[in-house]
Amino acid sequence: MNNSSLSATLISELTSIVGAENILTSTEDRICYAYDGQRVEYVPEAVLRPADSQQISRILTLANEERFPVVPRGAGTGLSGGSVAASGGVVLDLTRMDRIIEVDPGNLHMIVEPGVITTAIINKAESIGLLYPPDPGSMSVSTIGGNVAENAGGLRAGKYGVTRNYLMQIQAIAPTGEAFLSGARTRKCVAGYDLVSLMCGSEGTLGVITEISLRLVPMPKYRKSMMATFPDAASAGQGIADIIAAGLVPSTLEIIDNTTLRVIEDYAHLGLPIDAGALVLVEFDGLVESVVDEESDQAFRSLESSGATTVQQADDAEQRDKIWQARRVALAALSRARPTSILEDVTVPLPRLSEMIDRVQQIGQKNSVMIGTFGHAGDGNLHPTILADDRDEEEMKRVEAAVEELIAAALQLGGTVSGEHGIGFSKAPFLAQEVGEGSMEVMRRIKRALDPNGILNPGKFV
Amino acid sequence: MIPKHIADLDEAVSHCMKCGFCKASCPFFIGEETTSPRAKVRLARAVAAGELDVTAGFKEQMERCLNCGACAEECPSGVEPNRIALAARCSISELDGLPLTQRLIFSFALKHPRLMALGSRAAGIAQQVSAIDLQNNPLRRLLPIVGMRRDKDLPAMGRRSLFASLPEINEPFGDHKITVAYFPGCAANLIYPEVGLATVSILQKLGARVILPHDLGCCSTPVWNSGDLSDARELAERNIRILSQIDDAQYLVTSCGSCGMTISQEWSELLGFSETEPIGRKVIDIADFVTKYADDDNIQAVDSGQIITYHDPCHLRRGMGVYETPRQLLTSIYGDNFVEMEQADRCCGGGGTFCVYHPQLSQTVAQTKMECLSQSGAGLVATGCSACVIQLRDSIVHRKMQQKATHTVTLIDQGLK
Repeated sequence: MNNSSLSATLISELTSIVGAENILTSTEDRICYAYDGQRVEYVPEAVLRPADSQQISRILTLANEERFPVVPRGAGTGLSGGSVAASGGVVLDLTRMDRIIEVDPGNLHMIVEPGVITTAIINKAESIGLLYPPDPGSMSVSTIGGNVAENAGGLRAGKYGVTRNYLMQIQAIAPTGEAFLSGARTRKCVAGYDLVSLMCGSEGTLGVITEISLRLVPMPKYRKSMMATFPDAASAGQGIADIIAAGLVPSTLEIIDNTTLRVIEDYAHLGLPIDAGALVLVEFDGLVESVVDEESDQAFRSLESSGATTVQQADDAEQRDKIWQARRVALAALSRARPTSILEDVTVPLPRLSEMIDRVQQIGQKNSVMIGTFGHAGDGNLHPTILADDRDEEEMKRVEAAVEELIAAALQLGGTVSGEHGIGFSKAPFLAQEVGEGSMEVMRRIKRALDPNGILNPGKFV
Repeated sequence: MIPKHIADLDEAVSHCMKCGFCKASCPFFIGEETTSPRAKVRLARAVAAGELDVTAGFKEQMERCLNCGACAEECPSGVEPNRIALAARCSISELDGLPLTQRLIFSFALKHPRLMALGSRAAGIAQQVSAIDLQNNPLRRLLPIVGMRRDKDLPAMGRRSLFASLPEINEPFGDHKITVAYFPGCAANLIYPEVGLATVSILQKLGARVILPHDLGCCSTPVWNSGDLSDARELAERNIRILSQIDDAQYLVTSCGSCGMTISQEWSELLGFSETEPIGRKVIDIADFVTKYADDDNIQAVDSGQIITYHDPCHLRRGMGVYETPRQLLTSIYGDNFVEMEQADRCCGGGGTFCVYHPQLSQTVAQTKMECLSQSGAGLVATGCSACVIQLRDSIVHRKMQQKATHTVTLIDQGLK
């Protein structure tokens, strides 16, 4: 049943492009595309599920003629509203384009369509002894197209970098419907503007990505993990900064504060030291065992001299698994503690990490909201998670105040409003504070030049 | 608290962060968001909030759930999308009543087990009179009229039921070590009586006196799963009356994950019979029982002459937590001929009666299971639930594959002295 506000003529034109099976207009179907992983929702006027880049091009051409917004969407797991139709229009569901086109172990690349699930890419690479390092928390369901559009990070970012660092070439459809290519399937490429980097993190505002060539790396053979306890979160932050300052590069370096630690223990009963101010989890990986051993021994000593109360090294896979179990269940434990959990994403330069952790705790106390902090501290990226009940208006006002103060604190410390979740609309009000009016104007000019009619994903940060 | 009505959903859905992690393992999810567990939660919330009417599309979405529980296992915040879809089905069935066929089965046939046995016998006679060859019978042309595929694999009905074959008290072979009651459920009594016979034989070999009350009926799983809680309560009550009179049985043995899960959990949690908790605590799956009571002298190696693999019934694995013991037993009897298949715990698409009401969808879900079965190299797949056996056999026949499917108990029985 069609309850969409789009005209019947337009719907029949769109139907002729994607086929009747691949256009959704009923209220119940459209509600399913109103959301992503954050709280605010907008019901789109229709959902289109194109099969290939030609169909996308035709949809965008029509959208420019008829002036309706088009919002690209992968799995809808984003945390900043990037795939939500904030200004109405149609959602472009790209999950039908889910082929792994080519894997080349000689050139260390993999060519994929945007709808491939991130884990499928990681598994495919692993099956030929290679690694695709970006591992966002939602990788078991997120799509690579969404990862590229949001420049997704993950636990391994401190050593391996983020999605942007693994892009060789991108094919995309411009907002006005023309196909374009950027980058090359080479290790180096300086041919023209770096449109690959422009598209990466553009959050669906500058083009629809239709094919991606990813760079792969050799699979590390050895891993070594350890867990340290610190008397308080700020000293743990210092311990982390000391590891990095010592020139060590852990593949993963995570922090769990006392609030989160207690919630995890309540939920999973892992026998964690709940009196510890914070836990620091460290892992090294590499191709040479002696190097991994040496790095982890140095980190061990560094943690001790930074004032860790205890440092415990995993001797085997079972112990390593136990160490990481606490981190794995962190989000589950936090989200069960209260009905609503708001996952923040502030990121600061490493030397300011312990200061930021202090500020988070002060902000929680000041606004009387519960904040559990965990995160990829090794790259300065914290996930202060605010626990509340969104049916309680008064509490949600305090939550909003806390979010604003968290962001102000991160900016004051020379950090960023978002390390890996993106701006979308949920962080849009804060972007100018960070980048300044000059940068905002450049972004607006780029957007206007590529998308003169404001078709692609309007109502977002630009 | 388990929501039993869409109006009770507020608390159950309030923890959903819409993270979408539930999509990773849902056997129905095929990329389109509308097929995801997350969408079911969101739509139930929309109806509860008055944002959406109970439309035909909504009803269809809520029916597209096999209640396999994989989504609940993935959810970081403890939301159970399968329970939410079930609550929606309960509200829908209150609102419109059930379709005629289900109404006839639930409110009449299932409540009269002896009549059902007669019916099953009559069906068997009809099958035999019309033609012996079930799979090439000309009457198959009629199957699409009742919504079934023409090539559907039909269990041969009407052999002597388990209750007609065995007395109510079955003495152990050898010394009496323990007394147990056996709840065979509809399938092991009427459809595959050989499953019931094998289970009783296993128990007798292990020194158990087996009480088999002939008045036991349907455990109520297919009925509550369709959203009909009031008929489900009646069915449960009937069984509860019978089971509460048995006080010398140390265990209540089941050979079906759905029966076991429903008796041990749903009778009290979903249907509200909290007084049945003592009965629930006595429930033990046959594979767990064998592992507990068999010693090395009981188990003998058997050369199967073919590779055997195992499929996890959803309600046995996620509902009862039984998945290690069937594998241990198959390994100790069949040795290296037992192999694991990929995604052994993925739903086969049967969903109890789901495959009867939604034959096409059910086969879509079965596709992955069939691919994994083929890749395993096994000629025989064992499973701990007769409804899965029906679905596996049907899916194999539908694809003209050569594998066989059987209930685990028939294989355990062969390896038990």
